[in-house]
Amino acid sequence: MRRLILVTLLAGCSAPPPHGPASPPSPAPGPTAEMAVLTLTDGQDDTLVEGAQGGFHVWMQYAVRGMAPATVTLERSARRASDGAVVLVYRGDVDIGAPDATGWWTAPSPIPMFMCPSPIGISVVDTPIDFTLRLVGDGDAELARAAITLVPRCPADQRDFCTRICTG
Amino acid sequence: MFRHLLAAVTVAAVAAHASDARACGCFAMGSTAQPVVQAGERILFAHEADQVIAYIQIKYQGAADQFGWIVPLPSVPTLELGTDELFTMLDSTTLPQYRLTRTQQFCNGGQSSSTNSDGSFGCGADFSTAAGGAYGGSDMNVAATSDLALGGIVVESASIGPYDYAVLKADDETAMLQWLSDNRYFVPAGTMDAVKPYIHAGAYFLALKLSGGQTAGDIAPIVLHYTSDLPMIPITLTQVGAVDNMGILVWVAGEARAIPRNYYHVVLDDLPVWFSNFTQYNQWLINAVHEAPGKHGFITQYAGPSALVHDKLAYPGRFGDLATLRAQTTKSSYLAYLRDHGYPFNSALLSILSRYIPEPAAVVAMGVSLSQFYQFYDSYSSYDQDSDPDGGAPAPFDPNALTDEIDARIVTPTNDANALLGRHRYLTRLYTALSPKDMTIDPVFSSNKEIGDVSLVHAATLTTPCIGQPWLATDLGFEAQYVNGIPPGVGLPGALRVELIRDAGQPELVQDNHDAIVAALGPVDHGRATSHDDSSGCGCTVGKRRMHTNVAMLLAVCAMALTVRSLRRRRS
Repeated sequence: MRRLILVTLLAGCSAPPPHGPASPPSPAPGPTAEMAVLTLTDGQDDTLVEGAQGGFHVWMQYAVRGMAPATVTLERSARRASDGAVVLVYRGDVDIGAPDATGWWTAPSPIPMFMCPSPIGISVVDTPIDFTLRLVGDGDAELARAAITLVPRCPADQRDFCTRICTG
Repeated sequence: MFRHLLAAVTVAAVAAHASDARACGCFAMGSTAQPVVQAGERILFAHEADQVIAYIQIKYQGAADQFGWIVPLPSVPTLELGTDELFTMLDSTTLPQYRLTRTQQFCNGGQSSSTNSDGSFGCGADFSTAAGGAYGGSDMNVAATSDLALGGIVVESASIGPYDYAVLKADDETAMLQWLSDNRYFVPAGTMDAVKPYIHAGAYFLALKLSGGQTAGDIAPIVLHYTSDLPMIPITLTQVGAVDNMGILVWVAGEARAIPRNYYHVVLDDLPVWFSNFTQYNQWLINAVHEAPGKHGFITQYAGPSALVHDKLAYPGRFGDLATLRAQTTKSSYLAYLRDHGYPFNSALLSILSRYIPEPAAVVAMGVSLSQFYQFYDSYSSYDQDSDPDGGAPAPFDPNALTDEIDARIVTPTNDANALLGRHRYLTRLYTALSPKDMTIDPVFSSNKEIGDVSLVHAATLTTPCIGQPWLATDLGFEAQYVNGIPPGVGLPGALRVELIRDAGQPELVQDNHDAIVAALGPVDHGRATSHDDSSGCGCTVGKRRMHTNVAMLLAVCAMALTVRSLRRRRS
C-alpha cells in the first residue's frame, strides 16, 4: 500500500501543469523565483513511508519557476506547528535544470524529509508539522521558498514500531 | 641561657618554614595526559551529494570460515575496501588531551609554572575485545558455511579484497530467512527480533564472508556508499553480538558539527578525570553517558576543523612509486622499498606478504614473528631459498602480483580515505557506550551549524600557594581544594550536563549538574582560608599563619643578629 502511495505521488509529480501544480500548491514567492510542493495538499494527512534502515520519512516533490539552471543549496526543514520545535534542518546541493514549456522545472524524483527516528521529545505523528523547502544561493540569499503543513500518520502495518520511534 | 633560647627560636622558625614547604608540596613538571578510549565499533561517516559514505571497521576474532557479517542498508550500496590505518590515525589525532599546569606561588610574590605542552596526542584507542569468539564487529554475527546461493533476492554477488559479498533484498522476511537458511548462515538466538525492524520493501542487506584461503588477519574495514540523507548505525541489530558497555566511536566528516539526532548529548564532567590522574578515563566516559535517560547519550570529544587529519594518511612521498616497487625483483629490495616508503607493516600487509614471501619454517621455529621477519629480512634471507619444503621447483617471486594486491588493499584505500577527509572542512568525534539491553534505538546523526566547536584540549592548573594547600582550577570553571596533594574524595556526577541538540538552535538543557558539583567540591581557600587538616603543617588561617611565620622569621633574624653581636662582643 505504501508502495502504491509512493507510486501515485511519483506519477502525479511527473508533469506539473502549465501554470503550476494542480493541487493547492502553497507556493510562496521567493525574492527571485517561485517554488511549489507538488501533489500534497496543505493540512492533509500523509502516511509516513518506511526508510530502508528502519526509519520513516515524508516524501516530497517540488517544482521551481523563474530560475535559470544552476547548482544551489536546497534546505529542507520541518518544525512542529504547535511550537516551532525543530524536527529537521538539512542542506544539500541540488542541480536546478532547464524549465519545460510551461516554465517549470520539476525535481526528477521526490526527496525524503527525514522524520523518524524523531528528535528526542518531539512527536512527529498525528500532529501538524510545517515543512519548508528553500533554495539558497551565494551568501545564504534565499532564492525561492515553498511551505506546506502536513499531519504525518504511522502506516497501519507498522503502527507499533512507528509509534515507538516517531514520538520522541 | 639566652643563647640557648635564641637558638631554640631560630630552630623553631626554620622548622615552621620546613613544615610549610613539605605540606604545600614542591615544584613538579606538568603533564599532558594520554587517556585511553575503548571502542568495540568504529565508524567514519561522510555525506556527499545524495550518498552516505561509511567506513566501518570490522572487528573479529575467530576462525576464518566462521566469519560472517551483515548490515541493513537503505539502498543498493557500492563496496570498497578501507584501511585500519584510517581508524588508528583518527583515533590518535582526535583523542582528547588533558593538560595540567602546575604553578608554585612564592612568598616574595613571584610564581613558577610548568606545563607539558609537547603537543603529543593521546595514544590510540585500546581496541579491546568487545566480544569473544565470532563477534562480527558492527552488526549481526553469522557463520558462513557454504558458498553463496544466488536466488531471487540476491541483487548482486561478487568478491572484493578478502571478501565474498552479496547484496540481498530485505523486502520479504520469509525470503530473507530462507536465503540465510539455504546458505547455512548461523543465526544466533534473538537475531530475528533484532532483524525485524529492517525487513521491509525497498530495504537491502549486505552480507560478507571471507573468501577461500583468506584468514582472519585479512579482515579489512569496508567502505559503503549508499543513497541516504542521514547516517545511521543499526545498533538494534548490533545487540546480538555485543557485550556490556561496548564502546562506539563515530567520526562524521562534513560541513558543520555533527549531532546525535535522537540521542542525548552529554558533556563530560571531567573533574573525576583530573582527580583520577586520567587512569580511569574510559570508565568516566561510560558513567557520563549512562546518566542520559535510557543511557542513550553521546559525548562530543572533538568538533572542529578537519585540517588536523588532512594528509595524515597520504603525505607527500608516501608509498613511493608503484612502478618502481614493481621493478624490485628481489625480496630484499622489495621489502626495503616498503620499509623506506611508509608502508604500514600491519596485519593487512603482513597477510599479503605471507602469501608472496612466506616465512621459512626454520625461521618460524626460531620464534621470529612475521613482522620481524620482514623488517629484518636480510638477517634471515639465508633461510629463504625460494624453494618449497618438498624440494620442488623454486617458487618465483612475483613483484607484479604482489604490488597489485598491495595497491588494491593498502595504497588505494589509504589514498581514498585521505582524499575523503580532505574534501570536508569539519570533523566531529562522538563516543558512546551501550549494553545490548540498551541498544533499542538506532542513532541517527545530523548536523547543527549554529553550535560551537569542542576543543581537543582540556586544561587545568594546580596551584601550590606560598603557604597553604594547593587547589585545582579547570577550564570548565571548577575549583577543587587539594589536601596534601590529594584531591577531594567526594562523589561527583559523571556528566556536567545532559542536553538535547536539534538541527538548529542552541542546546536545550535537560540536566545541569553544575551546582551539585560546586556544592560537592566545597570551598577553596586559595592559600588564604582555613585548612581543615592540622597535620598538613598549614593548619591555621593564613592571616594567623602568616603572622606566626613572620614573627618566627623576625625572631630568627633577630636571634642571628643578637648572636653575631654577642660573638663580636666576646671577641672584643
